Parts: sequence; structure tokens; C-alpha cells
Amino acid sequence: MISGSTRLAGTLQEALDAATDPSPELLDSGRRARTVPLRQPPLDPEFVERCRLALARLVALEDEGVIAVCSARRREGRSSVAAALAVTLARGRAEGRVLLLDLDFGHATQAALMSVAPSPGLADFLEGRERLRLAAGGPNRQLWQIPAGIHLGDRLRLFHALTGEALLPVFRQKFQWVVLDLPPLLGHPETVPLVRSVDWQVIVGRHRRTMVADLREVAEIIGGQKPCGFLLTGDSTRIPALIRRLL
Amino acid sequence: MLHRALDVFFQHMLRLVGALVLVPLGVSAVGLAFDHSLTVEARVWADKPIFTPVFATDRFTSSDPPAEIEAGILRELLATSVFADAVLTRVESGYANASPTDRGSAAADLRRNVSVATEGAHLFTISYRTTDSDRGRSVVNAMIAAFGTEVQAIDANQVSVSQAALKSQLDLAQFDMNDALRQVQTYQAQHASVFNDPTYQTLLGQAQSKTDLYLSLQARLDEVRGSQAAVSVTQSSFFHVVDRPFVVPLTLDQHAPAVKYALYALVGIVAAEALFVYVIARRDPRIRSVQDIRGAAGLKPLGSVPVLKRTQ
Repeated sequence: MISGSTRLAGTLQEALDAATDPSPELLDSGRRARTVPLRQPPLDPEFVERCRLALARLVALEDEGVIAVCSARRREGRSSVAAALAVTLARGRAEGRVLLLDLDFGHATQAALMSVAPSPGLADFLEGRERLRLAAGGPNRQLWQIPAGIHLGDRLRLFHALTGEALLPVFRQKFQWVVLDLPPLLGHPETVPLVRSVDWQVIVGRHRRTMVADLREVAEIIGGQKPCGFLLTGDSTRIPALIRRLL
Repeated sequence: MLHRALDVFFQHMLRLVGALVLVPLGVSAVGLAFDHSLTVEARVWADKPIFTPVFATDRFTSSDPPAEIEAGILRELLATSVFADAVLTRVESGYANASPTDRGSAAADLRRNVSVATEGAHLFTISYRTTDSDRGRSVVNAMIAAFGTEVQAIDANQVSVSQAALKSQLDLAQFDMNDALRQVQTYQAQHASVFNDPTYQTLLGQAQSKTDLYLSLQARLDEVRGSQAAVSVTQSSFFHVVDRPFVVPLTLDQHAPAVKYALYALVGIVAAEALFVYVIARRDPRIRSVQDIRGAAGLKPLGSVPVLKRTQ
């Protein structure tokens, strides 16, 4: 007997296969998963470059894995950082595919950032309403995105499916790098198991906005078992570069 | 902490610098508006006399410029209550009968408002800040007069002390000389022939040297008496007023209330701003630098990204 979790993983595997490497039969039968074109996110080159440096500090010379981008609360620049990291990986560090997975169900922004329709997406697929829809773009179509979609059921079940039903390994098989854009950790405890199961964690905090106490709480929640780094966003400091270099 | 303080400072830099400039300027403007004081000034010429009394004070042998010497003496005298009393007694008729408290406060007021400055090697100025020009002129005139009297008194005292000391030495030398001569005469009367007598020759030599000592002391005493007369005569040659006290047109110097209040405001605003930066850096619970997070949460800093500007 095939368990429910194995069945969902298998379905995801098939869907990804159909989207990324469609067989002639699938193409002929028209059952191929929908793939839509993906536009580069409109990010400032300096922003992307700083994200590239941050990525180099975090993952060093590793060439595959899953990176979770999280923050304490909303509006701290998490989605932009996740998108920039995915773009950076697709441009320079990956020979294979890079997947940007928007898991901020209910407040998804990645679809808008890359100019694709927000639905259907992962939530629609996991709740069994729609086929999996992926967007692909960038150089050699290396950058892929699965929008969050619209969830009608409990968001807890979606995260349970992602962690408890071993869907993350399926993404790992198909993509060299996976970047997870997670909802804020404070107020969404359901995301904690997923954060702990990734290879690297990037915590994002906004300059002069994020509370230090919140970041301390986030650091305690994620535990510190995995390599974890902090990226300061919205850095509007006016300290001259010369002084910063001296410090 | 340093990163946070710098971030706070540069975040509010325009306001902080603005306050640093505008507040002292405002205070200075208010000070100018309410300040009705004026400065009365006199210029005095100082010179080294061609004839210098030998037994006067040693200031004439100094290599410093005469203006520096005289201005220095005036500043030192100003710090003494005797000189302040001498000046104020000349200015205010009731000063001598005033209570010690009133006299003390009047003397302190005099010292606070008087300034002595040199203008080159020979010229020095005596300035007095007041709201009453007539009183200002009186005070400066009184200071000049009291200064002349006091300097003369110092020199005269020096000479008198020297004269007294020399006089006592001279009396002693005269006694010794008379005694030695008497011994010579007595010895000569007791002996028939003293021409080659060694004792007689010794007594004669002693009498001779004591006479020489007496005569040299006598000469020095005459010199001192000459110096005593010269002290009063030479006064006009090393110290005389070039410009009588006059009201100076409005100028801003470090003694002007507007400038003083502006400096106080500057110091105050610097202290207040330092406190502001310290308190904000210390108490603001938000993250201000990547370094904050290393200490607070033990996370590895990955750097920072600027404020996002979306490109089309």
C-alpha cells in the first residue's frame, strides 16, 4: 500500500518532471504541466550584488542545497532578498536549475515581483485543485519559480505537507538550488520545522525598523543547528564609507 | 555601541549641525540685542628708561618687551586687594566706608570687567567694560594713576630697604675702622720705633682694609640715595599715557556678553547633543547596525543591502 505522503511526493515528482523535462507523450497528450515565462525581478544591481556577497559568506563553495530566507515580521525585505538570492544563484553559482519557492501563503509577493500570475500555485496544487504551474526564465531558463497560489484550507496543512510528507527532497532532486521565501517566523510557528530542515538559513532584518529582541527570539526559535546568517536590509546609514572602513 | 552612536549621529546630522550653528547664533543675537555695555579704553606707552636706578626692581633688566613687562605688572597688581582698593577709592567716594562684602563685590566686578592687552612691544591697552561711559573713564584714569603710584612705591620701597641695609653695614664698618685706627695709634705710642715692626705693620694693614670697606659702603650708599631720587624722576620716561580713556566702537571680543553667551550655548548644545546621541544609541530597541546582531543574537553577519530601488 502506498502511503498518502508517498503519493503526494510522487505526484509532485511527476508534475515537476512534466514541467521541466516533458516527454514526447506528455507533449502529445497535452498533459504537460503548465510552464509560463518568468521575467527578471526589477531589482537594483547593487542590491543583487550585496546579496551575492552575503550568499558567498554563507554558503562558501557549496554548489547545491536549500536556503530558507526568513524574517521576524513582515515588510522587512525578505521577499526581495529571496528573489535576489535566486537570481544570483541562477546567474553565477548554478549549472542546473534554481527554484524560488514562495511559501508566504496569503501574502505572496514573488509572483508580482517576477510578473507572473499569482495563481494557480503551490497551495492550489497541494490542495488538489490545480495542476502544478511553474514559471521559468533567466539565462538558459535556469531560474524557476512556483508561486504561492491561493490556499483555501488551513495553512498549517500546507506546511505539514511540505515537511512531514517529504516534499522538500523532491525539490532537491529536481533543482540544484532551492530558495524558500518563508512567512515571518514570529506568528507562524508552523514554519519552524521547515526552517530547521533546510541547509542554510538567512534571517533578514530591516535597518532602524526590526527590533533586536525579535531577532533574538527568531535566533532562539531556529535553534542554531544549521548555518545561519543575518542580512541587514534597507541599510540607510549615512556613516561615510571612510569611517566604516576604519571601524 | 560605537556603530549605533555613529548611525544615530549621521541619521540626525543635519539637525544636530543645524542646532549647533543656529542656537549659539540665536543666543548671540539675543545677547547683542540686550547688551548695552560699552568699552572704555586707554593706550599706554611703556619704555625702558635710559637711566635706570640701580637699586630699583629688576624689571628693567628683563629682555621682554616693555609693554609685556608693564602689562604683566598691572595684571598682577589688579589681582591684589590693595590695588583694587586704591582704584575704587579714587572712583567712588563712599568706597572707603563701604562694608567688606560690598568692597569685595566691587573689586570682583572691577577685575571681571578690566582687561589688559599688549599691542606691540611698547603699547598696551587698559580696557574696562561698563554701561556708563563716564564711570568707565574714571575707572581707567584711576587705574593708570594707581598703577603709576604703586609702581613708584614698589621701586621706592626697594631702594629704601637697600638704603637701610647699607646704612647698618656702614655703621658697623665705621666702628670697625675706628677701632682698628685706635689700635694702630695706641701701638705707635707704646713703642719708640715701629718702622720695621711686623705687629705694627699688621695692625696698619687691618686699619687700611677696614677703611677701604667703609669707603666702598659709603660710595654704595651715596648711589642708593641717588637711585631714590631717580625713582620718581624716571617714572615718566618708562610709563606714560598715549591715548586718554575713550569709548571704543562696538566690537565683539571674547569678553562681550553676546560672545560669552554664544560660547556657553555652544558648549551646552554640544553636551545636549552628545547626551541625545548616547541615549538614542543606548535605548533604541531597533537594529541599527549589523554588529548589533552578533552581540544580541549570536548570528553571523552577512552584510547589508541598501534600500531597494526597483528597476524597470
